[in-house]
Amino acid sequence: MNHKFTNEEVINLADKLLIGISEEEVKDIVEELTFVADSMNVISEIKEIDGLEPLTHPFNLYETSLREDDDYEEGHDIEDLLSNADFTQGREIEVPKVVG
Amino acid sequence: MIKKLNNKIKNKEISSDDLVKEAITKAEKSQKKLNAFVTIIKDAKEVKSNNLLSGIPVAIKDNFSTKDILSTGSSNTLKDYIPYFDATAIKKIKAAGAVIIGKTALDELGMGGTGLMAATGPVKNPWNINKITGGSSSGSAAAVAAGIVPYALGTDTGDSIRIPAAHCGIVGYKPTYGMVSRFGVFAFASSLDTVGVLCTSVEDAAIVIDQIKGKDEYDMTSWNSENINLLASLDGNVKNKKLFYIKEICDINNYEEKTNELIKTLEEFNKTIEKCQELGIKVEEVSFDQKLLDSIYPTYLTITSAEATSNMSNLTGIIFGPRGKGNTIDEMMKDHRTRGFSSLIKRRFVIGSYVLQKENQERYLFASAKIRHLIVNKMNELFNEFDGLILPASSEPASNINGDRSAHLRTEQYLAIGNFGGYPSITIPSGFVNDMPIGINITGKIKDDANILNIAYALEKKLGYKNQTAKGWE
Amino acid sequence: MALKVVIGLEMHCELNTKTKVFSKSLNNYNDIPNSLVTAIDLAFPGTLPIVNKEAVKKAIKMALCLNCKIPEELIFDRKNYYYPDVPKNYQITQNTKPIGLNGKINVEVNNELVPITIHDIHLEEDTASLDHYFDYSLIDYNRSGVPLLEIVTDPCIYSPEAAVAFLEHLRNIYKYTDCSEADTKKGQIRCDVNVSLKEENATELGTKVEVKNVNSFSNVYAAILYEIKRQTELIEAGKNNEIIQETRRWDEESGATIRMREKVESIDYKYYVDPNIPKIKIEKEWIEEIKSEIPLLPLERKTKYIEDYNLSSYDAGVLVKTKEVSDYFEECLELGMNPKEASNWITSQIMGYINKYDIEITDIFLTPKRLLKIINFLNNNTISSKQAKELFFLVLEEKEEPEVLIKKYGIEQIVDNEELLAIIQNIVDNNQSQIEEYKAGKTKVFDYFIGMIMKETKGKANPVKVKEILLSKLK
Repeated sequence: MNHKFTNEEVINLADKLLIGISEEEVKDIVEELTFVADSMNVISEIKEIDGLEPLTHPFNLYETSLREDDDYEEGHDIEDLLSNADFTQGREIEVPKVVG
Repeated sequence: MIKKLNNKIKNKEISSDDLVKEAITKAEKSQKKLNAFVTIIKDAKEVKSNNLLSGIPVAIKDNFSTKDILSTGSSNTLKDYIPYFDATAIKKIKAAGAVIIGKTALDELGMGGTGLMAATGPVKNPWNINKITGGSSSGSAAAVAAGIVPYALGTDTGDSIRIPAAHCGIVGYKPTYGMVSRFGVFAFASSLDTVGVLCTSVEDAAIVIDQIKGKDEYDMTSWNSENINLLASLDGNVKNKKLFYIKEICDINNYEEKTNELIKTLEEFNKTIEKCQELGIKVEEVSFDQKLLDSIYPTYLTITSAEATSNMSNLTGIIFGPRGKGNTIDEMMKDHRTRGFSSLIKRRFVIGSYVLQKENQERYLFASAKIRHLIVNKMNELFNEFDGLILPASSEPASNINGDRSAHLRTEQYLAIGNFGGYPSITIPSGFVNDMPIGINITGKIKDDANILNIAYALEKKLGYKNQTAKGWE
Repeated sequence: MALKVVIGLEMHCELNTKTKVFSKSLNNYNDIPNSLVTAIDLAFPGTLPIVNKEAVKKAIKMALCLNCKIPEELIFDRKNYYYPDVPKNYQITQNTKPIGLNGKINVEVNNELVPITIHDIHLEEDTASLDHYFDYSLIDYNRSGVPLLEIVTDPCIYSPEAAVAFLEHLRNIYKYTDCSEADTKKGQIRCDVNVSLKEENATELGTKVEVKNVNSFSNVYAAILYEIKRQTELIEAGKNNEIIQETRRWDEESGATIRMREKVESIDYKYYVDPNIPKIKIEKEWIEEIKSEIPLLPLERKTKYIEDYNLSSYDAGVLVKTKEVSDYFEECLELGMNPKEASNWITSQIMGYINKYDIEITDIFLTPKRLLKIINFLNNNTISSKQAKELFFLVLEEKEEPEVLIKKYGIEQIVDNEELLAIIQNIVDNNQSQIEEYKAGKTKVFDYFIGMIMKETKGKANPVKVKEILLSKLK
């Protein structure tokens, strides 16, 4: 069951991530994707995983408590918040008009 | 080394000011040869505090937010980013009086294991500047190994502290996941990322982590470690401790390609095992299903790619980072990301994106997460019987910068076991192969950091590489 | 071919916690842009979410009100997509284990109880707001991270009336439980409406069209009607295949839904569990505690008012329309007022007043205590019912105690028999001709006399006594 990765597929994926890639990069990605796909074939043969839940955290930390609502912070200084933004207007970040 | 320096400062044999100035000078001089620093803080001042770390210079991996100091993650997407707040670990190290003299280079955003992927260029190994340091905490490892600073902070997601430590002949300690707050540390793979330390002795590792650990309200995955005192636990008493190693990793006959370096590394490993036994530690061989071991790398790749692609979606140049060019906001974001990320990062993102797609999750992401679960179950079972897992930190010493590492990358990913289960794991120098340092790695069960450090402490004494740094690289 | 409309609703409502759901920033309305923003809201590298307990509590409360199953663990997921109003370019939401699953609620539609099943309720964070100008947009992150509760129904609503009734009912529950201000005017509620048509007896649903971000209930109604019309026309013209699964938006100006994007290649949000938030146990004790805090809800109160107090369905409906009015009514009862009496005063006089001036019942000076005073004055004949109404307005306008105003304006009614006798005798004596007319059978004259007497006494005469005395005089 080997999925053949096409250049188009890879470019499409990259596009959705807002990343442009070169021909060379497409090649490398296809290669690595193929490696991952092949590996998953092998992995699927390891029967012991059948009864297991996917592990999303390294261990369960049930001692965590939730934050109290009245533990608040005043808004941070606008100079700090915007200090790294290249385009601002007044107290806001400016971007080309967003359509749709 | 920290205690020694601390004493000297207290006895006024040296001043912190001198120590700091010396470190800055060394750092500046080292740049051409080692290229370990992104930023050197030339006006770093001594900070007095009633603490072992007071007044002592430290270097910080550039994926930590440091207030008012450039923090780039060694990525062009953040090449002008100056945070207005400190990471919690930084707050704590500063509160202890540590003096930050520089931010060190890393494999971009933590991805990579060579030290060749920093936006500022390759980091060189002080033991041999034609060799890699390993990664991703490359600059931190080089700075410590070169004797520029006695310790440096780093992060470890798969082996990013523990391998550079091995390649640079120093100590690299990754504590239990959540022991040190991740707040303010640029996220790579959130369920694996761990803040740790690179230094020249186990004692120093204990001192530093004692200082920066603790539950942080800003990091929900952190936990209360008040009842753990690492330094106080180092008594060197390790008789009857039990360690195991994995047969398939340590047996030369299991390898197709038996390079000279691999053979020697495994021989050294056997010698180290003997030294353990001389200390009264029982060491046993445990066998792992080869298929399971082989699945570690692709599993690690799948999980980290998926988490990274999501974590780094915020790097668009809109709120921070250099704004991309374009007529629409999509064009701007795409330009920023296309020009800002290296090929390796882009590759990982595409893979991550692919495995996160609804129709692929079961087969890729869930399967990998189940393997992770299986490995963790196995390890937890073994940790019921053993105090820790001992392995060579890498299958070979540092390779040439211009060499091919791809094959090794796959055989070495087993240290990721330490991240899969959030286990404490420490690398200490254990010898040399062809004049390049190698290390030994010990991994234990969660929250059992004191025990693991103590075993490493005893072994370090026996091995005799404590406080080792590279000489003659200048 | 009779077509039936099938509607599914997704209602987003901002919770009224003090702080945001994943950061400590204040959850307020503030027209100064970016004044309620901290580092986490802007997704600076290294920032991590910190879950707000109160937001979770309110989410559980609403889930309980809608009879949903609450999971044992609290789990959050990431919804990944790029958009300028999402600083992380993923939204923290719930997909794996929503805070409420498989609920059900009864809603009154045209005096009938209609069951509506809830697919799920989940807690998530709101986006930033974009202000659009000629050729640029500005981003204000004040709203970024505000807790949002999304309630998703099954496709089980079969008329625009039912849809609106459901939304109004939900809004009321939000207010009754103090989980949200639920004010559509403040943009706190946004609805996505899914509309499809199918043949009356068909089991398969028609193609679903989504109308996104409808910001008022009247617009929800209008949008549904429009879609019904649009889709019906297409079906009847044999153009079924032109009804495609797509996302549209409601354009108020043109009164139409307009295509936004086709779901031909529907967006894959790559949902996965957020590793920065550990799985947290939801203790049964906590759920029980929250349950005990839920006040009696509107439908339950309405039933109680009808059954226990014998009020009409209409009156009971008015009383439970808002929690404030219902609480006012119940406070009246606690003070010992007769339910019917209290109900009458509230539904006619008070509601009229507050609706006219567009204020809340909690704003008026006429508290239940003061209303009780007026009623007591009425019941012990100190004032007439006409005077009581007069006093009602005086208390509201002048914001003085009833007894003070009675004295100030001399409102007391005349009950003294001798005084009344004298006045009436006077009038009778001066209108002999009319008396003869009455005796001759012209009974309307009676009212004429009442009118004269009331005029003479400036409305202060006790009408019952006047009638009594006059009747005896006319015999």
